[in-house]
Amino acid sequence: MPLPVEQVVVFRKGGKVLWSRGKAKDVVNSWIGSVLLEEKGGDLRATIESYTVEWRLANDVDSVLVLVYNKSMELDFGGELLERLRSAVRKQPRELDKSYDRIASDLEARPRRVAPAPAPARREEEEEGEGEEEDEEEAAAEVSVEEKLRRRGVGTKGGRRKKKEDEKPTKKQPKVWRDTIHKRTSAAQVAELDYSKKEEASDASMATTYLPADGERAAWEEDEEEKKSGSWLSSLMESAAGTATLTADRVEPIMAQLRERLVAKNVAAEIATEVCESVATTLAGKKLGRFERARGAVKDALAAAVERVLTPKRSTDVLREVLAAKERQKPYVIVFVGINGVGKSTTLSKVAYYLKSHGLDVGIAACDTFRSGAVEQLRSHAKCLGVDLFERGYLKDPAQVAKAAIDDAAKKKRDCVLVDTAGRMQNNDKLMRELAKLVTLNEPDLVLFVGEALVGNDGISQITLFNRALANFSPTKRQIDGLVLTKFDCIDDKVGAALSVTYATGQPIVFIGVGQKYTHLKKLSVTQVLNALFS
Amino acid sequence: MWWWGSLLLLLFVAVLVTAVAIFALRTPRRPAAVVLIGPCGAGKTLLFYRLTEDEHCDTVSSMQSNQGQVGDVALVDFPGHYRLRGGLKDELDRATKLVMLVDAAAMAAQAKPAAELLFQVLTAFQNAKRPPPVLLICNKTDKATAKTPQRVKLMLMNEIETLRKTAHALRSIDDDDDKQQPAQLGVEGRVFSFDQHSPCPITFLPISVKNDDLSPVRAFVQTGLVSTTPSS
Repeated sequence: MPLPVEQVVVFRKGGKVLWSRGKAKDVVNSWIGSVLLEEKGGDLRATIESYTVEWRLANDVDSVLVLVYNKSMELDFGGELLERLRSAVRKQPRELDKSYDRIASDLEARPRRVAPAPAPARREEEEEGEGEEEDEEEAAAEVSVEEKLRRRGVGTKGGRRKKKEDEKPTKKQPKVWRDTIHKRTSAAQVAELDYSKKEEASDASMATTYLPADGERAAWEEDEEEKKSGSWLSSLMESAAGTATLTADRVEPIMAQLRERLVAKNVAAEIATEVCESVATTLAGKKLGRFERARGAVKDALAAAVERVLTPKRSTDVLREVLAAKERQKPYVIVFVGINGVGKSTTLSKVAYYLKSHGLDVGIAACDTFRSGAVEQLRSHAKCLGVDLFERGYLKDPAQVAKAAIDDAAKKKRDCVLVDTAGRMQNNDKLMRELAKLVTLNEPDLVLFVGEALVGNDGISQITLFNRALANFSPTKRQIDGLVLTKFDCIDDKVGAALSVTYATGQPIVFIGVGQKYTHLKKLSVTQVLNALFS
Repeated sequence: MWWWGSLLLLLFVAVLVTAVAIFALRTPRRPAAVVLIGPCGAGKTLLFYRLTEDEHCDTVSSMQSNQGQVGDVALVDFPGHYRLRGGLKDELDRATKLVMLVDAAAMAAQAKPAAELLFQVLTAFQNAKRPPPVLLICNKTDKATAKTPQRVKLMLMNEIETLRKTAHALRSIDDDDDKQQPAQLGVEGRVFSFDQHSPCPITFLPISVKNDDLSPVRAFVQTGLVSTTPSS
């Protein structure tokens, strides 16, 4: 039977398709946009719409190999197929048709694998039993719901399989292991776990692993400068000859340092790790240019990646959107959501001032019917701004209040309605359900998540869980589609939160708050954040 | 001793030359080129390969730019994805001519991103001494839904008119308050028009990059002129 695969495609990073089989082009394009360009490529597998996409990079020949199949399938040979195809791309790029057919027929002939995968225990169980169908369903459900968690915790099934048949085994990327999401294990432990290097690891490896080798100095005695200067001369020679190649071993220590720097600038630790891993996969095997040093190349690649993540994937010009809505004679609705005390009402007032000062008719809807005093606070803002406030007091369903406010605004021919909501913790199910209802019922044009620029690691779980809760409780799966970072004036050069939140959500930062006054609303400068992170 | 002076001088010169050589090699200046821009899916990469290698190929979204030669002119295909927009300024700085593509058959989706891009380009050219000429290709005329160049021009004009009000309304955080705002496109209080307010000549050309003969485009890339009578 033919392989249950929708599309296999090999293309250059510049966009030229070198070879392809099957058709699912838009999947590949949206995968490029949402995974590769957002630097989420460290995992080698992702779910796009109703498809699973697996991929490998062949940086030495500037190629990307992608496999697309229906996400209800749990293919176990995806990784192997791609690895073998990759060695074919390297060896005979002109005969991919033939190579693919050979690989495919090999895989077709094989019975469904019952292999001793060197994977975690749960995976083994899954493959031992005959009730494979059930497990597949379970796995498929897991892919959609727990996508993020699975990616971090457990390795991918196809990707980590050992390929014995591979004539010329390609070098495996060292996996970065963590015991929790934050801590990275030490280099010694990584080496211990790295089975790609020692195929037949003996039991007596303990001594060699833990005891220092002859003449090896302890890490605390080691002088970092000295270590650098040793490789400095040789790398200079290589770079002068223009023959240097970036290997995973070489990228790793440089990347670790850069990661530390990102973390020092308040980028959430797990985000820093993921970005660095993803960039590392795009570098392994890459040839360095003449006089290009490894450190510089890695740093440049990381800076470029961070720039891509920070650069909005669409226009963030709210004023223009409101003007377009005005032409359609329909009020533009913005809902402000977020945790307690981050400055939602203040931001809302700033945005109201900004839009009003451009001649737009703005209305405010007080949908924080939960916290006492919220409506009064907003009323004083509205009075100060000279903007109408729509309110229905407390203890009403905020979704209905918002609806009434929008209807009222449409009747009065307003251009824009800004909806204030109660601050809520992402784990408060009752309030999250309410918010999801508000968003589903009113279909706002923009859902802005307001967060503090001060947040560190906790901010990321806040925003991801917030987003997930919204999606889970709403039938339309509507999520946050823009971010506001407040208190940006208090963070000096610790701008890491900007990277963390954009990476975690994939959404652009629409506004930043830089002070108390209504006029203290600005847009983010990607250049400034880059300078703060890397200079 | 008498030769010490000259030896020192020689040494000094040698060091200087090496330093300059290393510096020059490390920071390669971008050579002048004709630059292809446009929103995602407009057909840039196909046009690039047709022009440089005379080859039809399938394409996916570009993740990095492509560099090639058309005759003795360097051609750069700059990716259209928003996330890669950061590198646009460097490309515009080295552009001798600019070819911009839009998908005329999908103007409903392309008008806004295309206008944004064009607005960025024209604003950047506002202060240039010799702004490069622009060829605006209304691609995919083979499709039934393709808009005429006149229509494309009008749609872009309307969008740019809006952008003139909104694009710089919100200050960026690194703008100093006393720093000058970016040069205003067009004339204050007047509706924007390509013919009157564009800092550089823009020629609209309807073509199907997939099917048609590309000699007008080729001519523009090489000479900066379009041989066929432009419809503007």
